[in-house]
Amino acid sequence: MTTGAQAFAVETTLNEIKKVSPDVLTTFLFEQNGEITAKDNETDSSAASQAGKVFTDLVEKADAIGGLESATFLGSRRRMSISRIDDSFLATVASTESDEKYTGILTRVLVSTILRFTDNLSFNKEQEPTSQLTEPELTTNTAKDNEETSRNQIETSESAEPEPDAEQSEPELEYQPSPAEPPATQFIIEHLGGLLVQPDTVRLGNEVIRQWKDLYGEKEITEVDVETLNGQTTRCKFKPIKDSKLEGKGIIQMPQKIQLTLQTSNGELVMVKPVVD
Amino acid sequence: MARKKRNVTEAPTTVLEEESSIPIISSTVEEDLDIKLLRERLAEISQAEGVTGYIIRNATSAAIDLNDTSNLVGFALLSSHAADAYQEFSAMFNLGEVGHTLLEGQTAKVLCLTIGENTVSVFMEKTIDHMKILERLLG
Repeated sequence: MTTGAQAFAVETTLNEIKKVSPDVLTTFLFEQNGEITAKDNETDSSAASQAGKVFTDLVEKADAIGGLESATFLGSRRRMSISRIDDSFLATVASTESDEKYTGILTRVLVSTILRFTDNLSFNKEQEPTSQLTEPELTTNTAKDNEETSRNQIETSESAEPEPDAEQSEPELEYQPSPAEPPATQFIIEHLGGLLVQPDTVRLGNEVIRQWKDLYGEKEITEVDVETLNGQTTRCKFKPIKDSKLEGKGIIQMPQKIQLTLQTSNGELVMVKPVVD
Repeated sequence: MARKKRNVTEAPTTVLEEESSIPIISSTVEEDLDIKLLRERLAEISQAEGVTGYIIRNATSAAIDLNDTSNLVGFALLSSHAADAYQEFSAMFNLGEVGHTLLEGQTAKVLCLTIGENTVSVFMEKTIDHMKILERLLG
């Protein structure tokens, strides 16, 4: 069973795979019952959903070869590969000119790693008391603001009571993706210039802004923290990218002033996190 | 286990009866040179170590030659569904004209392809290099 956090992580991975391997055209992950759990941004939902059902029907007929582990459908233009990853199937459609082994290994290894990693995180979260997983200052600071964090605080105070299991395990603070800890997204800098450009505002793809809205609901996000690979950080405002051709390309348009602040330049990588009040 | 080979040439249409222990295979057309050649190649391939059998069918006839005769219907259904699945995926994702389909299970794999009017499925052990089988089939 794929959780929401897993689906988010896998979707991000699938989008990244498409960026590094342009021959990969379509990627999606589906459950054994055909239900789509994750897909890249450009994959058509209805086609993926239908494909999941068709493949599920085929799986049901595969007892003669001991169940279906993988399938490759090679056409004159494109190749569709479907392989089992634990309880799910990963489908990839790529150009026939692409390197089958490379794309196969890339997608399978990355997606299965992400699935296992997020599985492990979920398992740890279930095993450990909430008070050890969330930094106390985050919950107390945001408790007044909304219902969700209020619930977190209640859970924190409840779990603060001594529990037999809690005493046995070593207290350790592990990374947990939670609403209190915004997800970081990697972008490539594209220089943003012009007379009307606001020097303190970067421009980001709509799909990322949408994901943040989905994640944080009605919380208003007006600023982002930008961090370079060298550890330079700055906080700035953001707006959606105007040029629709740049959508989904993993690009952040950045004015010169912010580039100078971060000591970075066009083509460099940065991590961007939303600032959630 | 002895290989079971069936080739029936009486019924006018192809019918697959799932309930029967023996699959119905029929043919109405005279075998032309192409299909003769294809069957010769399949017969030769099926003798190779690790190849467990084949199914060949077209609009009017079908032939099955499999080591494991206990689940002929299962093999035939898989072969048929693989071809159908290809057609559906091709329409959804613009795969283009059919090349081949490879299905890998836990214990075996099957290579399905269309040659002219004929749909061929070759069943083999997982360790067999299916590309070599493909080369031999296409000559």
